[in-house]
Amino acid sequence: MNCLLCNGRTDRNPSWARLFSDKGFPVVCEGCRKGFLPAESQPPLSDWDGTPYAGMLERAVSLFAYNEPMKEFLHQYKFLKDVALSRVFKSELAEAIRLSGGQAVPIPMHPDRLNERTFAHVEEMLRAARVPYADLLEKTAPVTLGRMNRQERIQADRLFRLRSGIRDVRGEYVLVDDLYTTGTTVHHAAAVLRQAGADKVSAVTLIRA
Amino acid sequence: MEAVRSVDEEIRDFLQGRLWLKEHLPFDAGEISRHVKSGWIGTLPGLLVSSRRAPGLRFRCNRCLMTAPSAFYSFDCRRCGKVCHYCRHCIRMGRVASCDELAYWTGPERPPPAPPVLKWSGRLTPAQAGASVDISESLQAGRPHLLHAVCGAGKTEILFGPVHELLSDGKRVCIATPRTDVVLELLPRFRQALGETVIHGLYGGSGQGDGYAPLVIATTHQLYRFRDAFDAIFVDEADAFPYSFDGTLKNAVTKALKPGGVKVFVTATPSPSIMAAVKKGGRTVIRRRYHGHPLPVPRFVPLWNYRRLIDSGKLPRRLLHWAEARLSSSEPFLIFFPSVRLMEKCLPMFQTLDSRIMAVHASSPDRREAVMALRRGQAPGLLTTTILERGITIPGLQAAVVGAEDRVFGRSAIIQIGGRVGRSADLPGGDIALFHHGITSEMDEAVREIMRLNREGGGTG
Repeated sequence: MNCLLCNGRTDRNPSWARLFSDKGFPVVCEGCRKGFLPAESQPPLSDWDGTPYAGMLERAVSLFAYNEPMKEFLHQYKFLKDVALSRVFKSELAEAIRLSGGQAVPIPMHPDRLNERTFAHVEEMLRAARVPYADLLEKTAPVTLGRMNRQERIQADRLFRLRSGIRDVRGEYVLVDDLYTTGTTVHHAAAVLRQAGADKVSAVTLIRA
Repeated sequence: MEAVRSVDEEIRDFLQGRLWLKEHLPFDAGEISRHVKSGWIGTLPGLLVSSRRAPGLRFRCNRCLMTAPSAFYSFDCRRCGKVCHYCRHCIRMGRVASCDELAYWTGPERPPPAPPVLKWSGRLTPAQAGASVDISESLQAGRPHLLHAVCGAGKTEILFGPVHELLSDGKRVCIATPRTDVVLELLPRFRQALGETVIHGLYGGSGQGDGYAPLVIATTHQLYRFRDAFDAIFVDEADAFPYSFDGTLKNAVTKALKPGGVKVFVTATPSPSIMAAVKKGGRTVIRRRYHGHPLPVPRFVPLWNYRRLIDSGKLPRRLLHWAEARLSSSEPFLIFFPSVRLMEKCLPMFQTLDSRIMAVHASSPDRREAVMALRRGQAPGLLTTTILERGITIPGLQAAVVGAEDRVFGRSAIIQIGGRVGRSADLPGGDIALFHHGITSEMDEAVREIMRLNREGGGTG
């Protein structure tokens, strides 16, 4: 098995345990793995105090820092469309979602963008992590937050709505997304779920930008 | 047949000879589909999928011709709603999936551009001139050719004549080399020599090249994006990594060649597989450098247990003296290491001798700057992995290898490293010290070959 990122060897010491358990096959070599560093700070939810979105999120967790190796990873995964990379963070993501407690809900893409990209990057990561998820939301417009500044993002119109046919959303949910920048995306999504009756919504994002 | 419109000409000029992801073509999608309908643009599926051999599917990427099963990945495609597959091998050029199409030009061909004027006015040595004629003869006869010329024989100048003849006949020519650095070095020299001719320089990150170029100078990888394009391909350094290692590159050269096109291999250290490829073709050997001086012969210097010494934070005495001698006579130098780890351990110790000494390896971001610093004399010397073994020309350069017994320093690597030394006519000598913990047969063979070339080259030049 070669490293998904550098194509080097992943494992120099084969062992019986590795032969008989599915834990034994790292998809990324140690050198590449070391490049990904834990997020230095957790998302500051207090930024949203005083806005209509205050308190919508119970808590938010980001796993990794947005350093060079992570930018390179995201470029290859999302821009070069290398779907195989959905497996790189499967165990970290599964663990974080388990700790957050609740039904996983991926942040959706607009159908136009999905058609362009040919895969839903967040959903693919959840599937690779074998985390069951509920597709509750849909995106209202093909806007990308990347072009907006902080103020515009906070004041943006609603970005999501419940998918048609979905009414009862009581219970606890974990929103899952790739990047937490200002938190606009997950706050908008949380608000939709809370207004539809969700008891608790938290968020797990792979990267703290 | 429809009249040729200017937009048609633009598409033709760009696409003729290329093999391009249809959705990435830099033209209006409506125009493209009009041409697909009229038959002027042909398409191939991105991947060839076959299930002949159970179990499972087998794939071939129609761009890079990769077939290894581990290079392919399957996913639920949200564009077509089916399971699609894609090739990870050439993904950096834009992903090719089974639901993508690769486009190529099948319409009327572009009339060849006016014959270029050869502006190069330098003079060839008799050996260079002879090689030039040999290559032209092989090209005329349509047979492959091997130019086996020692490092510093002046290979680029030898190619000017044959390339110019081909272009004058309206032929399309490619010079393919494994390294971006070499593309960047050849490009200005050919632009100067061939004046008006449009020349594309293609490498990772170069852009795609606008329109049509009768001469393409490219890294070998870029040939994935060509199909039946060239009448002749000059394969430079065909024994170097990754060409010698990655079978898809060999196939890419064949795919980029027109039926009946000719391959010319150019190298200082031909491997048995190249010798086999030109068995029925022509061959020219140049044993002397252009300035007529013999190749410097590497010398062996024992450096017993150097790893233990370096691990304990000391530079072996002989290596230290070598570096000090270079510094005191201000001769630029390269010291080659078998691994990045060993090199980085040594770097601080060398920097106590001179803080301007730098280290470079394949993934150092400032590789080009470091070489420039050495060239300008701002750095007295560089520590390097084998990445700098080829293509570097710096007057008066001296070279040392630490750990010459390591597997990475094979026969051809040592010959190439030796080839960096004594390249200029003013300073034709120089030192190549192979510091070792035991002499390997590869080291012996390299030295024997250099001495043989010097002996054979002695009379004829």
